[in-house]
Amino acid sequence: MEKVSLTFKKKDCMGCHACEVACKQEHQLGVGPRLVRVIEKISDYIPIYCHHCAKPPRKEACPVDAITRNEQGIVLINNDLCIGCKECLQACRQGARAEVSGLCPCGVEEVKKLTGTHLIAA
Amino acid sequence: MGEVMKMKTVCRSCHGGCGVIAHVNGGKVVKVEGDPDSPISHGAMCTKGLAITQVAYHPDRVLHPMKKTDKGWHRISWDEALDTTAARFSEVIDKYGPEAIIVGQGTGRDYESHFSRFGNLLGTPNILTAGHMCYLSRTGATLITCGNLPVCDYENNPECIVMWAVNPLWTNPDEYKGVNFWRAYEKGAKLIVIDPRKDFLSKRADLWLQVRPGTDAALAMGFFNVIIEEELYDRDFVLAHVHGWDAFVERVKMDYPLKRVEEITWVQQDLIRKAARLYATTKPAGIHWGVPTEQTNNCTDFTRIAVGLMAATGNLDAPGGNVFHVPPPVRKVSEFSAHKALSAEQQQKRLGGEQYKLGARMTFITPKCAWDAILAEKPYPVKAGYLVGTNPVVSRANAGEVYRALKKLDFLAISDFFLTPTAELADIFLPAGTWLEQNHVSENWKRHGYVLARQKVVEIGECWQDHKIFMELGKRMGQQWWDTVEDALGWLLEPTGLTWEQFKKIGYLRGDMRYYKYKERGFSTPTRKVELHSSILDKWGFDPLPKYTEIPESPVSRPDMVEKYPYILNAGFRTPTFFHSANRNIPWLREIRPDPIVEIHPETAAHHGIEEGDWVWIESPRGRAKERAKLNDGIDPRVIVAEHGWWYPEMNSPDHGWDISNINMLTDNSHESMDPVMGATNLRVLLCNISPCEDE
Repeated sequence: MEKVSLTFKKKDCMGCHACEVACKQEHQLGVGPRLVRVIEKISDYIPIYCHHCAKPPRKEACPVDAITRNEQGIVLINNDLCIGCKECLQACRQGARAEVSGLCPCGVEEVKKLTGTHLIAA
Repeated sequence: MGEVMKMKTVCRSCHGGCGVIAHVNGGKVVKVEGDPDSPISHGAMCTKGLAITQVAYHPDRVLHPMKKTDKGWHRISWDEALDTTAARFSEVIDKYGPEAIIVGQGTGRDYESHFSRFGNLLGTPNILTAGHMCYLSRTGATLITCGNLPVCDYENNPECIVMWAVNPLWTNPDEYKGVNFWRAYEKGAKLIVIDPRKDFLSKRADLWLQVRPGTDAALAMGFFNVIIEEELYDRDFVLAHVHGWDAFVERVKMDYPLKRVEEITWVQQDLIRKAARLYATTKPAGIHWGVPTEQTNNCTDFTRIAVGLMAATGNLDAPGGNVFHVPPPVRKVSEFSAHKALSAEQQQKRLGGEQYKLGARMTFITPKCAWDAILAEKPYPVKAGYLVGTNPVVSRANAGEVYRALKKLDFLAISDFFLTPTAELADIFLPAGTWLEQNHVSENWKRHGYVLARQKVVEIGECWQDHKIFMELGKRMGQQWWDTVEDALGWLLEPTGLTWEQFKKIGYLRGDMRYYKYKERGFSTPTRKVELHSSILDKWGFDPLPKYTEIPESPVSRPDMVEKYPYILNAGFRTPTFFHSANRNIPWLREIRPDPIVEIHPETAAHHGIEEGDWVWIESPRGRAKERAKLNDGIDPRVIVAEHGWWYPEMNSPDHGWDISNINMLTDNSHESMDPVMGATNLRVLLCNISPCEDE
């Protein structure tokens, strides 16, 4: 299966935050979970998002093996297995930096259907 | 879940007009996304537009008309709301004349045509809009100088872009969308950024000119100094098409040597010279400018000098320069507005009209005149108001005075989505529809050459689109309107041969664009030339040549104030999530920006014992506001930058904290501080001091 990815061009991030609201709308999230976040460090804008790492620290940290990485390179959380301990948040360099609270699920709707794996906001 | 229906429409969460595809399920909008087929936004949407469902379905949104009694707000019917409003207005007209009613809007939610028509048919010349210092003031200054608003022509790939006091990637779209600028920039255009703050664009720029806030007109004269001295201007164009060139050159040489410009603007001579050369020698080149230059006493003159730069470099109405877009053949906003219905006698009663002649010609008043007429009843009493989508106690200068004035009115009707601090002062609340609830030939008042079909996607509660409110209230007062909103749209579209239903299907119309139109018929000014020497200003008794006038409250003009107020406040910083005073109650947006931010240079902050995140009092002779400190080493240590538009919808008291973090508690609206010909309020540049909030 072909690898899929969501690309952020960091150098072109101008701090509009539209990705954050688009994400909230798409995944019907309220205040709280932030799957993508743009940090403003005057005068830089730093988009923080799931990198779907080859060796995800979140996966390593998960005590119940709820986190997997599929053949498309997408890191997924199995909702049924997750016990909500948030160890993964601590382990993730991106998440810890910006309190980004979950994995970016954009672009994997079809994968969800194929694998039956759920994506959650921690 | 039923089937999702997708409908195309046009956003109006700001002035953007971006194309939208709304997803509707079970009579409710469940999602919006950018429309890739939109000729102006190409599929892009910003946070404000994307959050529209949280505006439209907000639990605090008022969904039915209300009246206020001693016991608070009560639901009433549309009939009672409109009958009451019409009756109260009629009483005021009988006793004091129609001029005793103020009709006001904010930046306008694309009902300018209906708003102005209502005012004109009511017989009041007292039209209160943001126009005195935003967009219409820009347009007015260009009308008397070159006959139309010259818009940077991104479509034809400018090789050099001057981004003057504006960041279209964040705010202020009007004719512009960030995406069009970005495309031109990505194709390799040189970029000159003029901004007191270091930011994304200034870091990308080939040249960044960190100007002292408010001195843009002097900087533009500095550009001219170089262009004249090095003979970088288009001699043929100037000879054939510029009126008053020699007198203007004389002024530039006499009054704006680069050394003096550097002293005024804090921008080094070398940098001014480089920027002027880059702009003047790169063809084509466009200037894109925003509201900060309009919101000072130099409003008219800055725009006039900027137009001069476009003209002298041969970039006016040249592809890729600054062009006059040709509108599609729909009926104009001015015709719909029925300005001719307002009698000469009533026009002469326009508050401040004798003083602010260019503002009066653009058919608006400056707010200070309205507050004076209400509070001091001079030159005559104003007793009632109809305010539409506006929150002046937060958005207008000298907010304390605004609040006192609106509170004193005998009768105030408001149309809006929420009970804002301004709406809480009203007697009647009329619930307005958002852009999701609006049918309109949108963008008709803009000068980008398009009209776009905004079609009603849903109806929510008993809300009406403002156009319908104007019509139905107007009819109750004996005014001539169409039977339905759509009938009026049909009249607007009539010259195109399209019906509203046909136009909706097409989606948009564009005018037949041509360039260099002046070669056939000159410019639409009295001399048919670009008037650097303005025959209209001359006739009115103003200085016919543009110049820089020192900011009325600055370390230069008021050295006596500097001990107590040592910093220049750059007020009114815009952010991408909010539109002026809107959206502080929208969860997705407030989460991104929970607090009002004041930017302070680290050295300045250290001097006051202020650390990142501290609450800070910002104070001027007129009042104070508190905002949260963000340290910024990309601003001058003598400058403080503060956000505007803040109130706290989450505070349940009727004032909703309008005076806590409201930067307009500090701003000045004295006549001495305004643009003398336009009446533009100085919302931007004043003196202030800062101190840590002890109680936080």
